[in-house]
Amino acid sequence: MSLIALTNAKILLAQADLSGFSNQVELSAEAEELDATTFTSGGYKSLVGGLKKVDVKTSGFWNATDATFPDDRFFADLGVAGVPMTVTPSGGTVADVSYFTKVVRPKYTMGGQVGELFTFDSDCSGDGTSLVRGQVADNQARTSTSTTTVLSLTAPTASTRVHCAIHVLAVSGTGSPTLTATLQGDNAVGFPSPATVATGSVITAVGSQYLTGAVGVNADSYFRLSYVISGTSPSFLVFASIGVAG
Amino acid sequence: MTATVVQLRAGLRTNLATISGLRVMAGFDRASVPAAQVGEVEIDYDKTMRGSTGPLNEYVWQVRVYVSRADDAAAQDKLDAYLTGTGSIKSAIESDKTLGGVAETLRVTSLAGYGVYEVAGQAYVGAEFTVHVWARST
Repeated sequence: MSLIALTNAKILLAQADLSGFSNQVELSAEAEELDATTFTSGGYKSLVGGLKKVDVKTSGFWNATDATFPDDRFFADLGVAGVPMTVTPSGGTVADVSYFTKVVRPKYTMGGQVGELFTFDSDCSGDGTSLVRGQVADNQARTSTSTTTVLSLTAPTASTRVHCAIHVLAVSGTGSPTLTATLQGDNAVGFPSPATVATGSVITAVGSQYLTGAVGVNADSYFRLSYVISGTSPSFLVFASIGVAG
Repeated sequence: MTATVVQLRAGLRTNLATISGLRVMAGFDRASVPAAQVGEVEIDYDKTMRGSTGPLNEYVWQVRVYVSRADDAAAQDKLDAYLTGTGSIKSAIESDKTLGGVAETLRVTSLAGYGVYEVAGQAYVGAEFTVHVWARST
């Protein structure tokens, strides 16, 4: 993969696509350093990785209209845990690297100097959910029952599980459009025998979902989303990612 | 909303045209004064990520206003009237900060270059305004 000039990162928080308002994003993951040094450590510090922490910072230009805009979104989420957040560095083509988790927002700052554009700074922390390094599974408007491209991922182990973050950014149609997403796994790319990993609740409006499978060894290393869509001329703009983590 | 440079320039001309008695030049030809000219532009691309609406760019325009130099004192008075307050270049350009719905916002940030300009071989008294326009492109 070639180097990336960061002009097309995707930054999604619940039902808000913050990309077009943001000019800076920083995603950091760290594990606590636990000192396990003893007299037999050979003269060097001996360290063990402890608890992990995730931080996501975004900055950009303030804007407000509804919950798909930064100010409305950040204010609504202040102090609220469990909000799906996804960051991809390269625009969100299916199978691109995608980082996602669930966050709590402890800090939202807005301001600026006279004459300058009004800006925001947002700090989020992982709410205890793993930071998942996965792949983009979907980035398009879905208008009928369908499945996403099959992704090849590492099969879950004894201590890991499948994760999926789904952002629904726009909904249109009549006759009460609905979308139900099912995360599926299989042990072959042709998906001869799909197994349900998790099924989300019915989606009728913009929003987000976070699906996880059970922890434990699983032979399936191919994953996709299966959508059941109903309504008259329904359209759901979906951005989803799938990955395997603890 | 996204905008082309052509649309932004047209929007600036439209706003300038709201000043009574001020002609807006179409290019760099001889000015029929008093006249305003939407001149050069510099573009700072990618002020935001692309997103679904296109990246935000910052366009820095030079807008010049010219008055007759036939009488220097009268020329200064005429030019000074365009610098601040009602009927000024700043208030006219900022009267519609979206330039007809194609820009996010704009600001006339400064005035400089108060002096004599030559346009198509003719000397005029004039001044130059810097206008920052923020707009998205595809």
